[in-house]
Amino acid sequence: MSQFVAFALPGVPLGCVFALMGAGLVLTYRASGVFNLAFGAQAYASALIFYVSINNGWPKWAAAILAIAVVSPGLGLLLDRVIFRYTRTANQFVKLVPALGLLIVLPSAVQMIFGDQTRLSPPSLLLDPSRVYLRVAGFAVNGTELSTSVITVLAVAFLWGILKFTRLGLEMRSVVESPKLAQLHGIRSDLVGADAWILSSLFAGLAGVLLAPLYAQLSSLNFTDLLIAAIACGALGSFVSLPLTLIGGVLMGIFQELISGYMPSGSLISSGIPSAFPFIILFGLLIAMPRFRIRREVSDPMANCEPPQPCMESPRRPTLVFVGSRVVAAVLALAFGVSVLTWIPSNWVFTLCLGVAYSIIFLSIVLLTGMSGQISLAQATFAGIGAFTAGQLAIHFGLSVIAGTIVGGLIAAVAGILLAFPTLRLGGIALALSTLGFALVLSDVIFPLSWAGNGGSGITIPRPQLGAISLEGNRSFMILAIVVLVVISVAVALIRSGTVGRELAAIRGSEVGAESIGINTRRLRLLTMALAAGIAGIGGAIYGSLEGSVSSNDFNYEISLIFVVVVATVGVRTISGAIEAGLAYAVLSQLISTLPSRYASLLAFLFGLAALTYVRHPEGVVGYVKRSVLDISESTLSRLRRGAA
Amino acid sequence: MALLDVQDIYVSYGPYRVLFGVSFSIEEGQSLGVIGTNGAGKSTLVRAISGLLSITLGSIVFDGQRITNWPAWRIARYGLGHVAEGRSIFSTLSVRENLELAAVQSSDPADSQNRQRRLLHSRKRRFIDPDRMDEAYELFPRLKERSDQLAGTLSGGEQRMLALAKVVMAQYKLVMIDELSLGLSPAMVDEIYAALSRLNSSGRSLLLVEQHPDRIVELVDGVIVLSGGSVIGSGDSGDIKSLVERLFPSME
Repeated sequence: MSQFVAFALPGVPLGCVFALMGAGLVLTYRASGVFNLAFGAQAYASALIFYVSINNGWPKWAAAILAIAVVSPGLGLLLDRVIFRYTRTANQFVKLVPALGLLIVLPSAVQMIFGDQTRLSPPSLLLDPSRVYLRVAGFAVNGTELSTSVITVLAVAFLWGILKFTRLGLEMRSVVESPKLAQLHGIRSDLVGADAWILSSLFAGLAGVLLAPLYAQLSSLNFTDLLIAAIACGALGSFVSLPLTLIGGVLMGIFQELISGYMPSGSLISSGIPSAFPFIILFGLLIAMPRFRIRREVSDPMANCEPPQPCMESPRRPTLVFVGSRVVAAVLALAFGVSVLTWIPSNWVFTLCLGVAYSIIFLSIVLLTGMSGQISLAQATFAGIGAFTAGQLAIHFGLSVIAGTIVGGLIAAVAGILLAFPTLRLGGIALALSTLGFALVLSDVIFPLSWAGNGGSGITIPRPQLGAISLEGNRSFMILAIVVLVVISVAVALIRSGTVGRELAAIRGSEVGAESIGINTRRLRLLTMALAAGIAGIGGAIYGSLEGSVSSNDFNYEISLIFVVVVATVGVRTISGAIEAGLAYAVLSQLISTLPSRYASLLAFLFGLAALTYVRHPEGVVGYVKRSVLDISESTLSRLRRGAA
Repeated sequence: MALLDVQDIYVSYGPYRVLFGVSFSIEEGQSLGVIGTNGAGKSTLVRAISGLLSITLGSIVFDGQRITNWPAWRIARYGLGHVAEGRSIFSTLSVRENLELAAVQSSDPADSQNRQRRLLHSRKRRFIDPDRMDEAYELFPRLKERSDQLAGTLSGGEQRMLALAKVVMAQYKLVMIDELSLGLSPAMVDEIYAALSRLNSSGRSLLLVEQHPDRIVELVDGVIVLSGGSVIGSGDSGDIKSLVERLFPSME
């Protein structure tokens, strides 16, 4: 019993940490309607500012005011004015993409501003972290643990009071449901929405400064990992109840400490399970709680007040423009093919081939998100399954990599079905989060095992051999990759133009509506999830074979998030969008790798920044530019015709 | 001087023009019916007056103040209410919270005399005059039984009741009500209209938008008929029957 208490007690301050982040997440969600996955990044940014200003000789109180009360709310206000005020009536994916972009942009931005050196032992705001303030049943409570626990309880009570009892809280909740209807009640929706972001950012700042000293080193990864745990305790309160979030956080902290206490040490699983524990809980909660099942969504009753959106599908063009654009595209594709085979240097062929591999993985996102409206944050994980399968089969059974790639795609598809079955009833943000939980469990628990990804040291994957022809060289491998890309592109195009494609479009519009006209949504969701996972698996195997060796770091959840952001930015609705996204991602990362290390995250920064424009250009940046070019050529053409006549 | 004076307004939804030079006025304490078929521009007219849509041409004067293209929140605080078509309530808030939210203006009498101050300061505290809350519940006792229930779980008829009860909380001088009886059972329509006439007799002016003219006859003092975005006829409440017979021969 005393051992049980000794294991359980350290879980309370840890749980308070989860709860503090979770409360911030729930607050943002309830007050602004955005599931702010960038909450951890906001917290990190203010912790970093606190750290840097103290190192520059500022007194602690001044640094705290700057980081918590000035920079953080200011950032929140900026985010609301520039991005999120345009998303108030948008659907969950439109709200999620800029938040994901932000998750990537913020840490890389502060890294570029303040440099990327390691920052050891972050300062503590209130109490001395090395001093023991009190002892509970033999457990020594240090300053950080004490201050986090007390402040968490106070802060949760404070926020709960604001949302529940004040006029501002009431107005915030009304604006989330319908900004226009709120205006009819005399509420300045715009100001209230901005207030919501200021308040939640203030809270992010506080959480960041408080939590930083818990870790030996100030790193954005710690905060992002923490956020995932925070999502799990938020889920316990259905992302609505702050008190339940607090209780959930504390329970989770205790359980986690108990597990690591009683788990036999030594094996790889025992080191993976405790850290993956929050994700397992999150996944379990999402699929078990009826609250997250698809219901008739609470929609804005005043939605029909807006003028209709312009059509997303490409308009019918005059024959000359239509044929002309096709000819230009064909010539460009031909020129690309010939160049790759002849004059482009081999290292650039490698880069372009990387782009082709990315394109294949990105096609899975087009199929899943662009065509059927489901959000998966686990596509890099499926790519990893494909790559590791191909590699392991080649190492242990001497299987050809081409066969291994196909088997890898199949196994990834099976994994996709395994993920799809429990999540069939989930929609929108709950689906996205459950795929994220799945991705984290796989990359933390399974991928480090020696029979899978062998952790950070990774495994080798040879280049394939086709009969007598060796595909060892970059150029010959490139041909194989292009063939695979073309086959999969054609397959996706056929799916889209066929019955299944129409049915997927119906599901994207409304899952309940699709069911009501006799579409078997369960079958279709299983099918798309399996296909998308399979495609990602094949792409991953090609990526691995190209690189020669891969490790679990190549396929972790951050890569998945970046993938979604990149595809959404360039064009999630079209096949060509995936290919452009793949090539752009590979080429740009090659270019940026020549810059000094402090700019290593510039690529993520650029794409993250571009994702912030997703709200205004849901067809993607490239799609928008293409449409503009065609519009201009169309109007020039008609002017020329008129001039001739 | 008229309470609401709408002069020759033009309104567009994006590229589509909907209203073409609509004019009418409502005297203090009087009520007006707006009738017309689907797509005649009735809802657009009400949304333009309450500030949800912007007006390209024309002017609106309410209670001595030119309110043309004011933001919607300002018009609501100035005393011109709009009960929107369909679900004009917050379904994620409880019944009581909906009513609290609707209390736009301060219950402080000095404040209600000073219009300009009322525009600048919304209520920061969440204290609601209990008398007014009682008045709202008295109008629809069923709401009181359900005051802690989420408004989204109410039946369609109860949701309309709540929308009307909110009007009591807000103390508007003029309320525009868009197709309140749409999709309700005849018994429920009777109940809703009984409440409307109580609202009217307590001194509020009403602007009632309806497709079917027969229900509003006993409530309104005048009527205008919209078709294709313009006023094609107007008259006193006594004229409604002859107007409808003349303009919509198929409509009974």
